[in-house]
Amino acid sequence: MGAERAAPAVVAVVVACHPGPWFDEVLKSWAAQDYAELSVVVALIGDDRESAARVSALLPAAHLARLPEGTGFAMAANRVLEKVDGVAHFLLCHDDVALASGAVRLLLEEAYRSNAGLTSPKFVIWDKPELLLSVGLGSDRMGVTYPLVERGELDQGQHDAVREVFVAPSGALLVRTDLWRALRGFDPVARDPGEDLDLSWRAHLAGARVVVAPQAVARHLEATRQGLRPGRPGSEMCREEHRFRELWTCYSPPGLVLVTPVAVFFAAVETVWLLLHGAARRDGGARRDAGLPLIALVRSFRRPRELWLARRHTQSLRRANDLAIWRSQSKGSARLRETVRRRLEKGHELAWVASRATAKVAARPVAPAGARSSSSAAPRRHDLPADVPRRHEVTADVPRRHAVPADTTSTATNGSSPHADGPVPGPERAGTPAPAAPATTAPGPERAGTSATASAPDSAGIAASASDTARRRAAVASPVGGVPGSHPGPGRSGPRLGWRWNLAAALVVTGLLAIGSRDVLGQALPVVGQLPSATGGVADWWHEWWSGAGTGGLVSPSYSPPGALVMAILGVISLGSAGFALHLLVFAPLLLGPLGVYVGARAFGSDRGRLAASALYAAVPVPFNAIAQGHLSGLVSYAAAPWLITAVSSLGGQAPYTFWAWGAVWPRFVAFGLGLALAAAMAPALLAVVAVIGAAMALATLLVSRDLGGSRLFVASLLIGAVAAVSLGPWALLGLRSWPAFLSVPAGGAPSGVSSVSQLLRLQSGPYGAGALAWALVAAAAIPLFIGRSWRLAWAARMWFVAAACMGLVWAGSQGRLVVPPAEVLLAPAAAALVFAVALGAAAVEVDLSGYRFGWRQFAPAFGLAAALTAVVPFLTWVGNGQWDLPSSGAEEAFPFPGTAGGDYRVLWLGSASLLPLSPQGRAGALSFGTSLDGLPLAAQLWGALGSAQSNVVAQDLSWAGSNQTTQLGHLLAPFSVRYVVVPVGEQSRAGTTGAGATGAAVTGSLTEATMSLLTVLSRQTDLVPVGLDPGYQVFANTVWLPVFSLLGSNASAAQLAGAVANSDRAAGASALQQLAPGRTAPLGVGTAGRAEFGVLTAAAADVVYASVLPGTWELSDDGHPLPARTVGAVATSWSLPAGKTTVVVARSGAAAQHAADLLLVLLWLVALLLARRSLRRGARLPFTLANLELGSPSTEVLEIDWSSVLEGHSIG
Amino acid sequence: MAEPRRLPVLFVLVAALVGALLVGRGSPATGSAAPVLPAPSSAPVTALSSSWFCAGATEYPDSIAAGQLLLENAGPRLVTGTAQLVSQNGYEMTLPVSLAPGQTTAVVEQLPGLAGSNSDHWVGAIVNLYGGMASVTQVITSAHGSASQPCATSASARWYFPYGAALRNAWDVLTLLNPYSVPAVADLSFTTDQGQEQPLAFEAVEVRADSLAVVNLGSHLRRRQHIAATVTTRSGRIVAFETELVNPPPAGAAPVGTPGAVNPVVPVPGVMLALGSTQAASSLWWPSGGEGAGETETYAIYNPSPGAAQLSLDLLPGTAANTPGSSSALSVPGNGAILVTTNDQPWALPGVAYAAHLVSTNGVPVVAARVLMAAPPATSRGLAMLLGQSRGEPMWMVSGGLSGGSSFVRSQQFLGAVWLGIVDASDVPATVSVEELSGGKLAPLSGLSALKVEPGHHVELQLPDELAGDALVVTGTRPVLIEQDWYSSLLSAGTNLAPATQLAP
Repeated sequence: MGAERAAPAVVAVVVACHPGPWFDEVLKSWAAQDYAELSVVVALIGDDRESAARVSALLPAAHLARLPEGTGFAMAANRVLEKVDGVAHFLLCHDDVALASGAVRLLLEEAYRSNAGLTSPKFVIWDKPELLLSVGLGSDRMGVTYPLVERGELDQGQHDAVREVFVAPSGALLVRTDLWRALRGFDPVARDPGEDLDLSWRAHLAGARVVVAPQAVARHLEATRQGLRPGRPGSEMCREEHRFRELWTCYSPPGLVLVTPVAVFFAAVETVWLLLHGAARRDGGARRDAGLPLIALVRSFRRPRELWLARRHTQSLRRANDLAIWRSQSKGSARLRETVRRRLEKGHELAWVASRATAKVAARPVAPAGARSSSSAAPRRHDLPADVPRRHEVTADVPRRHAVPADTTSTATNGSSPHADGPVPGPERAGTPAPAAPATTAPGPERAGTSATASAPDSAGIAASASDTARRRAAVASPVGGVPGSHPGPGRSGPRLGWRWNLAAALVVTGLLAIGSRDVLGQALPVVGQLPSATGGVADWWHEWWSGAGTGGLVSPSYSPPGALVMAILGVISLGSAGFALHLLVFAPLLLGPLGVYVGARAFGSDRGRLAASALYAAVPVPFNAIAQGHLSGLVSYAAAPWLITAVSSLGGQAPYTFWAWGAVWPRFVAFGLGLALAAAMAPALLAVVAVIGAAMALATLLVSRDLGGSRLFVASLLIGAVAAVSLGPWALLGLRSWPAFLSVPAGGAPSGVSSVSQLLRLQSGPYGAGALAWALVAAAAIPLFIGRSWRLAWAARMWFVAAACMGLVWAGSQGRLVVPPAEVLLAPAAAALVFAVALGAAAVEVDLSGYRFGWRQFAPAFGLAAALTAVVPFLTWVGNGQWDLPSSGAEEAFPFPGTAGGDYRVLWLGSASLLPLSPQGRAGALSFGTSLDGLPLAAQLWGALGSAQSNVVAQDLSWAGSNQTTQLGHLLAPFSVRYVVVPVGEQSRAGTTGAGATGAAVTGSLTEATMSLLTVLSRQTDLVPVGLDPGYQVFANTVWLPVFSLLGSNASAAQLAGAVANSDRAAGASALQQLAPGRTAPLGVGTAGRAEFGVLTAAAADVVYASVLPGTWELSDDGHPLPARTVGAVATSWSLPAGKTTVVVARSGAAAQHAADLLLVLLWLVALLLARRSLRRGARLPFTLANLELGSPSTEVLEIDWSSVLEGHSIG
Repeated sequence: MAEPRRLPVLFVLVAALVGALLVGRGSPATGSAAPVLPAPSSAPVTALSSSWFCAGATEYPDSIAAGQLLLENAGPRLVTGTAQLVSQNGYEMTLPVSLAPGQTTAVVEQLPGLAGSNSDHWVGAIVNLYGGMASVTQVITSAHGSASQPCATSASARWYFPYGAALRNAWDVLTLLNPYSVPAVADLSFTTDQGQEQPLAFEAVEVRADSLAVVNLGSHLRRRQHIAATVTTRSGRIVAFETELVNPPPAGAAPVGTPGAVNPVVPVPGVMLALGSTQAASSLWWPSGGEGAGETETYAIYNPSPGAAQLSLDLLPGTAANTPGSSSALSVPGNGAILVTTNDQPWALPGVAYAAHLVSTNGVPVVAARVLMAAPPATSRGLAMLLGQSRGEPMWMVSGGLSGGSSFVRSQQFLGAVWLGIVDASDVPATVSVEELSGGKLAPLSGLSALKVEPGHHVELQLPDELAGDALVVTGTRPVLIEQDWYSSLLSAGTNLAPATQLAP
């Protein structure tokens, strides 16, 4: 007995506040203790007879103490222990802590062994004792506590060494009696939570040791936190207030001087952080309001007297200085570390999932296709064998911590926050794979019959439970690019933005674009650059498509461009309003482009990135420069570029896109090809641009992953282009014969408007894009290159390669090293690629960033946000212009061209290719030219002109004039019926000159050297008379022009005519032409019609009909008898008429063939459309083979991840 | 999938960017070119045709500025063409012309069918030549002097004249030639010593097609010691010449510049002919200059821009022994004009031949002319004016001018000297050779081959008497500027400063 008496007595105080059923187990644990000198006092809060009865029943030796309702744990312990004396240690316990048998003994042994003032056991999860809850707590110098073990960490004995800690949790705390008395127990002001920090800190000050005895194990239910009993857990405000109070009481005066500013600073920073990020949740699930840190700081001074007394008492106990205390505290900010740690953990988990989603999983091979489906080369997703891991399943090589508990999804499905539910897994979260829910694997008939969207290989959609299938389909599984059957990608990587955000952004962008276009929306568009004229109305467009450009051009009659057909159809859609159709043509791309980015960026998973990319694409200068200069092809390219990039990307089989089997994907090629054909009809160069995109992506893939699989991207682009080319019919095939005509540029290239690399990177090809702010887009787009991982980095590289390739081509064109399309046609895909890179950057920030150590990369979000906002600023200033610098008038106001009463004539448009209102038909030096009939060019002349013998001769004439070898250019141009020479000099010249006499040299100050030289040359020509007053267009009238069909006198010999057009002797020809001046000829008006009839009275000697049309293109008949045509120098045609009165019929030859070609084109389109439609429908029902997301090997299977649960905040492990 | 490789991507992109920057740095920038003054130039040898527009003369002979056209063919091929003489009242006459290789011929500007006194008939000429390497020069002679000027090869909508005077004994006449078949309408505005003026009578001046309009500035701008004129067209383009006629001053009349003089006169009689300038320039050169006893050199500077021009006039002697003179900080207000007389200036170089360079230090372009008055005790007599030039060319044709028997009809005796002034306006030395156009070919001249011209320096060559009337071709290894001057003691020959004609090979 004496020996027993030698054992120190321990009084355990169990504070019970309306405990639940678990209390029985607690009491039993006390009863099971093997320490003989243990006395248990159960302090019952309130009138809790039931608990008293349970205590009596299960722990009859215990003493009961009743305390008033509302008494907290600290106060209860204080009060009870006031009445206890004569014991060595007190053991303070919660009512939801069950001690393992022997725990008290072990605690006491360790207390004596370590000479500890406070001793705490190892806490494990109540119902999973193999998982750790805490092994003491640490604290930083600001009093912020943090766990020393991972919550839920598997207890493998790794923390079983006795260790000194700074805070002993109050769940079960052995405290030496003398220390308790000296400390006067818990701070009476302190309430849960925070009382353990207070007691431990003061114990440290008093020189006591605080240790954890891991041999002693206690299961902790955390009943209040889990809501298992009435009442709410201690608020964050209370915890923070206590923390500050500890600072004020425990620090010495010098320490206070040092700590106070830091504490205030941290509180302010945290407040700002919370303001910027909105209210955030912390581990405990308590919501942190933005002002909480500062409010708590203020509230810590609420009871100054108590604070002062507490401080005085605490300092009176001091046995250790602050430096000694600091050594037991951690450096830095525990809160910051915790924030970063949480991000890191989440990032690692997401990165792991992302990498797993794109990696081959060396698991079971998929069963042979034939065993499951007769219509597919590989098994259907929902036909996977039952033993293949499903949504939440992981294969054996997946780390255990990443196993997703089966009920996680259920929680998410219910809409509640997983954090709010508490971090403590239930019993089923044991880390072992849960069986797949039958509902998710059963191939029900409704699933088999779902649309292409539903049957797309969406891991979430396939594996979703029945309850959340609809939601997942709507939220995740919609197709990329709006194209049926496209794979939706991996899903969202960051917070989901609601539809309101998207709607608001769309409204803002649309509103700004409308404001920026306000001055031109209600007015007829001027004929600037290549904007077509609406003068003739929609009927003319149909006519031009059907009849061609007539005799207007210096080129062979070619098949009607499909662009004319597109415009005609657009006119019909516009209910016959050509003006509205033109407005659609010009302004619809401003919306279609950003929409394409919005749809295309969906695959990258970041809602915020998608929205930012769309807004940035709306703000790039490319379309506005195109509008300002009237570059229709640039606008079309701007609208089409995002869709093209998305099309090539989605068919390339690179993660995160689906790998498609060729046999199943061809309908998509047809669909994408038709879309490209539609765009290429207006901007033919896109047929080549798509190949550039594919090549750049393939090259980037090779570089970034040494993977030849990227060649599929190139092949996909070629196939899309090929489908489009075939869809465009004979016109495209003819265009392919001439590269410059194919690109709608002159043979030697055209000035791109981009003269420096700086302009290229700023995407500046016109008045918009100058200034340092324009660099911001490039800066924002560079982010994924530095922080991206996995497929995000790969796609960022591909996008940058696309941008670099397009910019490089523009640069090469500007240097004259390559014939390239107009700058905007290439800068548009470059811009699209850059904004896609921005979207990838956002995804990388949300997924990859937290995988890096704290460093410069952590500034990427702020940098990216600042860059993106900066990139939009110039756009906001452009909006003020009201018409995007589009001139208020164009070529239609250049000169009042006379009607055809005097005979058909041509207008030679001469100047920079970017300023010509028609497709160039030839090139003279740095300038291009083309002709139109009777005034403005036809819409059909905007596309695909081909060079001819006539254009070669005209080029030679212009070259002679340019080299000062003639002053009678009009004579040289007369055989080609050029009546007017018009030089568009640009809007700058127009703006730079006002008032009278603003012609000629008056505008040369703002012109390029080539245009200035041209005007000088033309001004030297004695037969070219300057006419017109529009300074934007210098118009010269040719005083010696000949009509297209001229009835010459009989003195016009063949030799004279040949001399007039023969290059070998143009000097003599020029003199001879003076004999053919107006007044000596009779015009025969033909116009744009393909046939005309004249009554002619010829002289006795045969007169001659001279036509400035290429030989073989027109026929002349006399009273139904074809007359033999003579070739005039291979560039013109003449006929000798019989004497006397006769009726002459002029008709175009080969018109039937052209009509047949036109009809063939329409037929092709219809067939292709129907074929694609049927194929896509059938393809939608095809069980697309998702054999491998990365390499497409059909021999491996796919790890299915429930993305929605992951991305909504669930921890995977 | 293995983690993508970041560094190769970054390396390739950065390398591409750096490469483009490096290559782009070396590439020439495109954009607006600096304005230069277009000068009359002949067509190249392979040319099909060339056109020349001449005005500023009165009908030949026995008129106040009797005109002749001096046609010279420096090429190897026969050149044919027409010379269309037009009058101010619509009368016109076309003469065929033919020039054998190396041949020089003169066409007198005479309209036999035109009624009235020929002294009232101003004549313009439109010369179309089929073939290259030919040039046309207008020569006018009067009892008080003579002058020559290459005809224009292009029309313009804007012309500037930096100097003129309308005084008791001085008439300033602008002749506007419209070589096109549509009428032109011109407006004239002036900056005189009395400010900016725009007489109503000089607005909307109609210049009919293929016709001439004559504007006597003295009719509305009387007693103006300095007139700078701008001619702009509302429609069409024209060619504008200025003819300044100065009679001998009345005895006892106060010359211009005399303080308090009420009705001053130009102290030296003579005649000046100038083709206007179509543009202003920020750098103007005169290959030959100088002043001394009896020779008064004045630079008339006209700033047609609204902003003030800050200028520096540099006198660059041909030898290093002489220090250059410079009148720094000249300022011409916007739309203003000034006269700068070098005589007696502290920076003047009396008795030293030099090239003059007027440069705008603030980039505001100007138009300027060098005006020379020669009177005893100088050996030469008369008045001369030469507009500054801005663009050098490697090949020039120097007209035979006045001393040749073919053109100098009134005075069969030329008592004076013909000089060539050559200046290299670039930074690289040029080597210049002078050849004689004689007998259908170019013949090298001894002592006038391989003359080295240092950058910024000038060379003055006095031609031998036997060459004084011949057409010369000056060829440089680099672009140079040429000026042809003649100084005669004979009043009817007088003094003349004339540019050469650019010759395209």
